[in-house]
Amino acid sequence: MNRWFCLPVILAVLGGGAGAGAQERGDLEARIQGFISQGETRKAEEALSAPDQDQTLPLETREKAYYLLGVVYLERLEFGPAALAFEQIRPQAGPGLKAAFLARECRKAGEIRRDSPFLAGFLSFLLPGLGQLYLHRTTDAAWAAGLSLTPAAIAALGWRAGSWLVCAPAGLVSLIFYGGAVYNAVNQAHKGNRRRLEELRDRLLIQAQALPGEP
Amino acid sequence: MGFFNHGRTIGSRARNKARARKRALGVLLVAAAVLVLLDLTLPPRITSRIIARPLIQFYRVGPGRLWTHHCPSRPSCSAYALAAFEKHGLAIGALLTADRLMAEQGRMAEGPWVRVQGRKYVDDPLQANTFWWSP
Repeated sequence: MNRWFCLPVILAVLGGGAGAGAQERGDLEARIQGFISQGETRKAEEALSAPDQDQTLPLETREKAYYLLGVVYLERLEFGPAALAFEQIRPQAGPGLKAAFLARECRKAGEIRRDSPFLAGFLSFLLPGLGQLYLHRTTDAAWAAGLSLTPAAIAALGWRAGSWLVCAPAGLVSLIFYGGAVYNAVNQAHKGNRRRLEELRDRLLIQAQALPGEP
Repeated sequence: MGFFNHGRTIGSRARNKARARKRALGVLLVAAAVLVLLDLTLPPRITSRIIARPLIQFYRVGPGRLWTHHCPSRPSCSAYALAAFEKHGLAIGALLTADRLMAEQGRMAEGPWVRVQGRKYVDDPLQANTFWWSP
């Protein structure tokens, strides 16, 4: 689900905070606004965290920008930077309650189960289907073993019978599916990890919406 | 005399088998080397047009029509394979196609799903399976 729809909100928030006379503040806000709308979150964060002795940007505007920056990080599944952005917001601020909740939960993201793509690929390299079993994907494991071991068995029979017309094509097909089984294990590990993070993100954003306080 | 004849027959059979095995290994290695060389030298669009597209078209007009089982994913496996070969070449395209064939049944329960003409399919485009690729 794409939540870049929050960008107009960012623009509105940052635009709304701009004072009529404060040229400097307007410039800074416009710069931050530009960074966030272009997805350059690092630069936006640098601009936000730069020392601001002259108080060119009001604290409220700054905190709202941090909140939206955190949401953008969350969209990208970057839980660490998202937690850091949410932690910049005071508990008594507008989005303080939501930010505290999101910061706390983002810190827990490291605790969710993550499968090792390397281990999955290595297990499938040892025996096609083993990596899929490690990922608890039994159907995939059966298909991976069947599709790579059946042509291998046919190639072996062709080898025993001395028939190169059977052995060579079956061997080639077996090699392709063997490589496919290793790739499948690595790919499924990546996809599973990503899916779990996406589920966590969606759950957090829904729970944060239900909390009081304006975003 | 008969003993010697018999021995000669067995010996020639064994020699034939050994020759066939050598030929099988040779064909396998040469085929793999040719595929890898073609893949490295020619752009993926051309190799896929020469080798992959005819095979997939043959599958579509021949065996593909005989299956009563319909591909549960969108794009279908043959369209996915064609896209994989055109984008990533023969070697990686073959791996991606093999991966898709292994995973299509398992993914049905997980989604994400898409509805096409009232039927529910698993939405599984090529980009969803190339975690290492950023265009």
